Amino acid sequence: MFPLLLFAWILAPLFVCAHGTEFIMARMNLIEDQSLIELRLGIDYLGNPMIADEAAARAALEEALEVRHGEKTTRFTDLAPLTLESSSSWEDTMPDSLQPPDDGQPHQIMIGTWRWKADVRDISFTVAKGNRNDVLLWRQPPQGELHSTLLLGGDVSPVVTLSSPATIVSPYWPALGTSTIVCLIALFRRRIFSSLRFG
Amino acid sequence: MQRPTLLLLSSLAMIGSVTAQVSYDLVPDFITPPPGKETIGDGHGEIAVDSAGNIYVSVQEANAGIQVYGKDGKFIKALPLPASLHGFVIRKDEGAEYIFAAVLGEARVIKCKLDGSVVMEIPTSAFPAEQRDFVTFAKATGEKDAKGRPKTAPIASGVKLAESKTEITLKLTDGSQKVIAKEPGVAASGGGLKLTNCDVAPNGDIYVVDGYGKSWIFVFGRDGSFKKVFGGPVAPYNFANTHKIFIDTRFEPARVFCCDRGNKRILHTGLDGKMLGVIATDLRNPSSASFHGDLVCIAEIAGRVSVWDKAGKMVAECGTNPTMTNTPGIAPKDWQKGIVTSPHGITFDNDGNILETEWNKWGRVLRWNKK
Repeated sequence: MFPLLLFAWILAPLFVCAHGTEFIMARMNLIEDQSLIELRLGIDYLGNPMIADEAAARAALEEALEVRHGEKTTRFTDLAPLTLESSSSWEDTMPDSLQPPDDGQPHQIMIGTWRWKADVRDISFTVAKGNRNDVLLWRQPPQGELHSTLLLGGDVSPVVTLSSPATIVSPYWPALGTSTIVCLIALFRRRIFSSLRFG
Repeated sequence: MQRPTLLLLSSLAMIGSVTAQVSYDLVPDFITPPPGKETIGDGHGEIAVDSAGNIYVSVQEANAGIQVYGKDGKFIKALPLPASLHGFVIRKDEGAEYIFAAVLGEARVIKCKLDGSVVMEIPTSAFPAEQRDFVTFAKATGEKDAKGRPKTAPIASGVKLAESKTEITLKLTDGSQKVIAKEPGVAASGGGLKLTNCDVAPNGDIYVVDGYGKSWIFVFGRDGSFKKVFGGPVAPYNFANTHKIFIDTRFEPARVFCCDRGNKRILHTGLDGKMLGVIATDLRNPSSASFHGDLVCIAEIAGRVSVWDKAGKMVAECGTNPTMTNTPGIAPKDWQKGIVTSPHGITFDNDGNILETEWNKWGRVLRWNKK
């Protein structure tokens, strides 16, 4: 029975629903009191005219976005690691309104999860100029409407405002603090010493 | 003395540039949907105009794949055609007008009269096996996803060479062969042909593109016999999601006008497949095109309609969506007057006015008249 079913499956006219699955889906969540950005990215690598195989899907996700934070623009995977896994469904990476109908065919979706505590309050996402993999960046607040923006190479998303940026601890702070104390002692050494002598 | 001369020259240059522009006015609510319907229905197709000025729009509706409207936008009838006419053109062939259509869901091409009666078909079997029989096999991993469906992992992709009751032999891309056992949990997908559009050359040859597949361009004779294949994801073309192709008769000899959507560019090849050159880059995902005189209008699915001259210069744009869309889920309540959502098909009418149809579950047509 199974070979017959398989045979039928292979020869059956293929219902094609390539639209909407040829670009990268990226769901954005602001978590931990809106101080942490989480992205859930997904891309189809079976039946996607833009993606040849699993390796291409991994590469596409790794290069999907850049982050504009302060004066800098940094590839998002240079800011925090992207955890990749393969799935047969889009899971939560695609808005419900775009979910393709079940076409009876297997699908392979590479899913990536990325979390980053931003170093500034306002950031935006961009797709590098020349990157041909478009990204549908979307967000569904718990009690709000779906917001989405399609980013093509060179496009920049609306600003994302976080509640509090990560505290930056520079390795130079201890040295700077010590230097300041030494300078203050040098400046006020007479007063300090005299107060010590007559105090 | 130099400065006034420069000013004069620059002014003249500006006048020249302005006179080269064309402009269009939106005609709001142009289409009157079929009786009893608020909108025309699930749109993922094309729009074209016949020599009488009637307007043909494809919708994803079983046995009613094309709707016909009068010049005034009023619904006339639906044609009994397949639901997945993703791309079609209306062309004169040997003295009569026909619809040539790529049936995406059935991997075939049909030629039919304007009443919808099919007079010729290029079936799936007429396409070369190397492209037609490219499949990917996946096997169940034993795990389930969040919705309880079995997870699968791909095991091989290649051209199906042979098949028995128990196994299938594939030719892999490196030329080697692999035998896939027909066992529980193994399934095939990604049949090689995902035909998105076709057009007809002056000599009657039919050009078909596999735009949701690997972007091969197939050439068939007027009788449907296979002639050649070119394009695809390989050099010098390096096509990616070449969504639709059209025969560009603005040039002599005619050329193939390729909407190479994945690469966001438009390019020309010769009718023989020879690469001629890139016309424009950095478009917002060019999905369809139509010619009138020296102009071509382009439906850019990420939110713009643009008009270009023969030299490859953009001379007008219509309906530009500032937020970019490219989704079919924008409901009528969210449509903004004159702002496109996801332009998918486009045509000039016989007077040079623009009609555009969108990738939209409810179905939407916009019209701009030439000023």
